Amino acid sequence: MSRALRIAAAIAILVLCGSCAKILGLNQEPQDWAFEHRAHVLEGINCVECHAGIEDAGPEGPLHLPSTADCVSCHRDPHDPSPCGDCHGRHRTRQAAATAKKHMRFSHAVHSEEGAGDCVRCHVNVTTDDDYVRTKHPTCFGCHAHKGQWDTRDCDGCHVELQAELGMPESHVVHDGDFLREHGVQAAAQADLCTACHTQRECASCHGVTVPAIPSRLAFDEPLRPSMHRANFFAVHDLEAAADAGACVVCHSPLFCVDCHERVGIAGFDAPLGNPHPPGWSGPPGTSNSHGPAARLDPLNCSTCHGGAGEMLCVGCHRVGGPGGNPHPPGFNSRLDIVNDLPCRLCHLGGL
Amino acid sequence: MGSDARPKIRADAVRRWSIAAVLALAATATGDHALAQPHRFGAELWGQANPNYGLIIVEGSTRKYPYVDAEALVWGGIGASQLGFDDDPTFEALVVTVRVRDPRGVSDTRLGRFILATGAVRAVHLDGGHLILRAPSKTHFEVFGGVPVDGDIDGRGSDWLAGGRISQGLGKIGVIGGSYYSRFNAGQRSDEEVGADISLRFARWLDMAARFSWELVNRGLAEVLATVSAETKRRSIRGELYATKRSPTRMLQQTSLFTVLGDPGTLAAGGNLLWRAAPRLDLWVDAAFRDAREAFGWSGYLRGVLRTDDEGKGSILGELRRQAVSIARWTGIRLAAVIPVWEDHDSSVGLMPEFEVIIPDDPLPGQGNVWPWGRLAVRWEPSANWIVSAACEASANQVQRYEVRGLARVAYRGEWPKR
Repeated sequence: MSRALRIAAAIAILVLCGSCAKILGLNQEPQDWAFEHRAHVLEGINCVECHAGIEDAGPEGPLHLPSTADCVSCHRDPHDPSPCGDCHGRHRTRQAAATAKKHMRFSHAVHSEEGAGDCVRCHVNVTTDDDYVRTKHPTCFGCHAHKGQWDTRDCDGCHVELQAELGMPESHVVHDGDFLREHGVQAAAQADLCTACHTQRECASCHGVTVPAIPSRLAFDEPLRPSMHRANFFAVHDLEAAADAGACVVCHSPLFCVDCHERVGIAGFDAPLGNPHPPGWSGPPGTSNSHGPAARLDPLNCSTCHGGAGEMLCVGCHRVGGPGGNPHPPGFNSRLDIVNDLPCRLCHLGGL
Repeated sequence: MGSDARPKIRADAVRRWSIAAVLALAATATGDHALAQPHRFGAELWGQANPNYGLIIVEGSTRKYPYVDAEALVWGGIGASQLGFDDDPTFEALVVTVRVRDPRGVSDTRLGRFILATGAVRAVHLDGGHLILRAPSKTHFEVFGGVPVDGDIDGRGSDWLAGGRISQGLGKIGVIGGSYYSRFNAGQRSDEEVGADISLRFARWLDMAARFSWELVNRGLAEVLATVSAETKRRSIRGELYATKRSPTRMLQQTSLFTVLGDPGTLAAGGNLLWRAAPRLDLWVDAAFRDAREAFGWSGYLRGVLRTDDEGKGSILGELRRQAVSIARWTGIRLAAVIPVWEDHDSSVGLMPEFEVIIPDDPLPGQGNVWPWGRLAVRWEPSANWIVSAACEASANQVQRYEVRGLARVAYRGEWPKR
């Protein structure tokens, strides 16, 4: 390889790496720097010199973020003609401040007086240039006896419609993982806590029996939204059910399956698509009768077409004295009354 | 063969729920607004062509601090009998609930139609009530009862369930609880389960949770789930180990004939790892050992999400999925993206292409060897309150050689009073 070619290749690789770094967010745009709070604090500049009027601010009103005019009152020779906020401080931090203003019952005026103007006492992170400048719960609880309210899920004292704020607790690990699989077991012990932020509609949109359509079809314009049943789930639903039948009955009754299978013609009397079973599936005693072992491997698979009134097809042969024989596995045990209770009474006619 | 199990939508029930929804929302929407949370409301028109059906969804919620809040979502649909809709309009309520709470949080009562999910009780859609009493010792007492919403399905008439849970907070470490519920079908006990649940956080980076339920009618394990997750201090890597053991026939109502056939059970045990490889790039890997139909297998996926901007307005997702358990053997590839096309102060236009292909290992004759599916959606948000979307979708699967569908939705969300 000639030297020129090697140089060209090296330049191409550098350009590629540079592009990748930018795409991946490794090469941050200037406007993505956190504001240089620490430098200002170390210079001894009082917060209210930039955030003018914040010490008198109530729950309503403006955010009291400094304007370019406020900056150039000290930085008299700006290095760039653009508005200072374009580069200094993150846009999302300012958005977060606006969201907090909308969803918090908070008065800087009251706190400023109590704290004798010591802003850092609550906004601890400004000393490190951290992007997260919002006061955290433990800091609030350091002065306010909100602990009882925390335990009793009484968030309304400070939060205005927490459920619409869409703010996740900073250390809420469960939301970071495979939420679809993990949330159920976490919510088992803490459902009361979940409802502090989540509405019933959010739960019912997946778990509701009367959902008008699955979430991935209703919100078809949100393809990255997590959904247990993706929009193309239909193509593999039978395979997924075979791999973990128990997962289906966590939410669905087998009658739900029967209902749909009848409509599409693979179940029910005179099903348009005909009998889906292979030859030798069922027959008189002594024949292959492969349905028996198959049913023992996955009883729920059978119930997806033969549930409900379709159970009588099984009873016809497997009732006591019938040609089908005893369907129970060895050691079968039940507390149900053989004479009166379902499903026993279907086969054990007269208590046989 | 199956029964006619289609849910019967009773007109009187719909009327009852509609009146309840209106009264609940009206009762909480009046009064002192100075202390009130804003009232939220929304409406959505949603339609699909081929098969044709349309939906209207109306929802609202309100909270009158601090005593009572209410929320409701009701919908109507028409068209496509193959999807369960008759030619006549169908109306249903998904959620109609009123929650009344003691101002100090000692008691919390929910009434109406809601999702009950507490302790080892699996989530159930219920018409009923749920009461929580909280003692200062962090001991919580819960009682609940009602009629499961699928009680209208033929063959499952007169369903009802009742139960309770006691839990104890363990300081900052977590919660431990025990629960019991009993369900009746046609006057007969069809389910009786006891269970336990625990959630622990010994450190900020370490989460553990488990739940366990035991069926008492046909005695045996119904379900066990356990998870342990940990993440690095900078949250760049997160790992989880999990295990799930289920006994499907013990999770069925014990009035079903299929509970007498024994129970092969299912097991899944595995782990996943999330690596935030770069500020805009998340990578996932998941793998699980599985036991189903008395055969061992595995499943897993590799997934990557690349955000095209720091706010995450645009994203690209790629996923490779594999399942190889018993007769369920297939490979899936999925690509999806959210592409911002135009953006103004409070309006935007975006494109959302999505594509998935399923490759079954053992397709049956006539089912085809590859099942592709694709959709292209366009979304316009003319203001913060409105969403207008349309999409075209095409697919081929084991049932249909090809299908093409159109989708559209117009949604409005608002609140009053505006802040």
